[in-house]
Amino acid sequence: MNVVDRAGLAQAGPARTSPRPRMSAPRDRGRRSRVHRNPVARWVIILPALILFTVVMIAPVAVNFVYAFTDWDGFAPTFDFVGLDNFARILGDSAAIASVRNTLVFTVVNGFAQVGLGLLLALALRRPGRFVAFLRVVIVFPIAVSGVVIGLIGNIIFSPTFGLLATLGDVPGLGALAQNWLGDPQLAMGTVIAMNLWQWTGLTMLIFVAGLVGIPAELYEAARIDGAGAWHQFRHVTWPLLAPAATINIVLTMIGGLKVFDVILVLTNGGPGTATRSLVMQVALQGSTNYGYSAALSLVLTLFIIIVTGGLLMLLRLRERAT
Amino acid sequence: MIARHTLRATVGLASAALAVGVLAGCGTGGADPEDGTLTFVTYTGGDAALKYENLIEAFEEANPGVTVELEEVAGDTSYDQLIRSRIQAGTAPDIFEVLNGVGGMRPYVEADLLTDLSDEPWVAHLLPSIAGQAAAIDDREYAFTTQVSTQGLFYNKAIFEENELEPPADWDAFLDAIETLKAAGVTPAAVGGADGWTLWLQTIVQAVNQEAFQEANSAAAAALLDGSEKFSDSDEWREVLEGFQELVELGVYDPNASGIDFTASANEFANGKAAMLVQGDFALNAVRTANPDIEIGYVPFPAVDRGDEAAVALSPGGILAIPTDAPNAELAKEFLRFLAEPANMAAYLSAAAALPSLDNVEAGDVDLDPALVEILPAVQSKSVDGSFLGLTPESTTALQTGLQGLLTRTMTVDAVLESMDQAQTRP
Repeated sequence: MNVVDRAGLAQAGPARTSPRPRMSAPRDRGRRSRVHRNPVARWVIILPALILFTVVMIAPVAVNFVYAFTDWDGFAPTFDFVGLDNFARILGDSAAIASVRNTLVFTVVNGFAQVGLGLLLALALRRPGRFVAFLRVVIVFPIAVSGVVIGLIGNIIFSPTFGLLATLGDVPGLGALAQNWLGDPQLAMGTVIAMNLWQWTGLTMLIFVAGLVGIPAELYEAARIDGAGAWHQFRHVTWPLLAPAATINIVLTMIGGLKVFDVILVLTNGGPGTATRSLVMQVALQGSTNYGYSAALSLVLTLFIIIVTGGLLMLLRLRERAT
Repeated sequence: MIARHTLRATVGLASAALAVGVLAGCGTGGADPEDGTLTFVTYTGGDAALKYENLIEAFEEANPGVTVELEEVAGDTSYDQLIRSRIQAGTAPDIFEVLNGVGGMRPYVEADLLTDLSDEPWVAHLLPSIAGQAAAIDDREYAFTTQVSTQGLFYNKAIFEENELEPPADWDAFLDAIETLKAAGVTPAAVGGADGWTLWLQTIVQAVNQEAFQEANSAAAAALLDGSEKFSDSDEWREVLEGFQELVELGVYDPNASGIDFTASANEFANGKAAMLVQGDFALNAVRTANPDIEIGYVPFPAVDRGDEAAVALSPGGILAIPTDAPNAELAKEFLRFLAEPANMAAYLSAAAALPSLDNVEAGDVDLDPALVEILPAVQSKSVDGSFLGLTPESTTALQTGLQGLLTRTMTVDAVLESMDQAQTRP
């Protein structure tokens, strides 16, 4: 039996308590209905956006889909259809396989770390106040830093010749800091993930903070009266009511991880060897000379993202509903 | 992905528009065969104006009534379209610089668009590697190569003197020098392993010393290109990669080499932390910027047995061709002859800070970096074009990745060769 259930408050999430916004004045509703009823007007309104969307989104994806079954190299005026050859080739391409493995490692490790750290930071910085607000800004700030600058910062911190850590490593007792952070295949992925966390954990925290603000204070009061400690308050009040924020964060980090590209490009360019090469990098690498193969790789990546995030989203929504 | 199509379409449109603009421009004069105006098209980025300015002036002075119009055009994907559309429109330039080396020249030769220059006096003086590679297309010469860029071994003269070392002339001497330097506590060589191309360059200088690759358009390279021979079965590439691996095992490079880029490696060499640097001659700029006082020697990379002569790896630059439809073809030939005169060539090379493609340019006549002067006799004595080693862009990428694997000891030579085969094969 848990505190919130007993208090009958489990249903009291912010989305449920706030009433649906009413349709505004009847006059307005009438106008809207007329447009709704007129099919021509409806199409006229939708068409510009639809055309734009088709041209810049649907058509390219469809064209890419077709290229995935050809041997077009990206330059030649002609190409042949080769069936599933490109897809069979992926299985025999050790660099592509390595990039899939790296992408999964990055997605899982970075995902857990980013959501976990984001949650901890949000809980630590949930109270209002000037200092807390300042800290939040500091943590969110790296989102605004461009990829090129991340590369420079990465070099300043991690370079084995002039980097901050290498310099600190000269201090007695701190020798362990002097590592070949970006050039050692054992360390490079960890370094890249750390840099990615530095950049994006702030966003995760922000989404959690927004979720936390929406949890009514009365719930904690009720829980405290029922004798719940900090852990129980988190377990039975905070966590269930943070479910929507958690869903967004998990899905966002998952998608971000599966299509990671820029942070790796600027820090290691996928190296050393294939130690940090991601699937998107592999797609880009092949795109310049092996368009058909590259299109097949990107198709696999897209399907992968749709299946993983779609499945995950369904699971998380179920969990939200269950609480 | 698809953005590239749109981009290509835009570039196509832009170049078409450009071509139309050029047409309109030429209608008013430019291409009249009688007026003695030589149109000379180069692509931007080569400092053409700086390099040719004085020579053009001298040529105009020696040929009254003649003017040379130097046009610089963006050297991107639209460059060849522009040249071709001008040739088709009857407004061909008299001379144009070929983009992308001998490979870029091939389509023009095959379409019969270039003037045969085989009987020009300078052909006899072209370095065998330059003349041979171009002639391999159909046994004729279709272009004048104004300069070459080289890749070889830079060494720090002060460090070599301190350790009583001579610049190594063969592989054994190279290994001995490495042992001596290690014993003296100096990193033998710097390399920017985070930039895959710096590692690729370490193998190019070895590969040009493989006899099978030294003949122009060699059968060994052709077999790798057309897929009839696999890298896994190539004794040449296996030996090259094993050579690289041997150097890594010996500790030639800084243990952190995989984490530093080209600039950092140039700094390491410039500041005397590493005694050698295997690089292209363009690296001189980075090294001299980091330390203007360093005394640098430059020799061919000694991947040869004792007693054999090591070859300098080079690639041609400033390849000038005359379209068959050039309105002033004779005058254009005259200009190339003028350019090829040793004194004029020396002036050009001094301005370009580059090495010659001709064997009759004396080191003493050219105002060059001492390091380049040092390697010039070797360039004229034995050089091999490093762009014909059987690699496509795909297998080059795989090679670069694989070399990082060898450098960090996470890949075997077999695995690297296999990955090059995987990359080379097309569906």
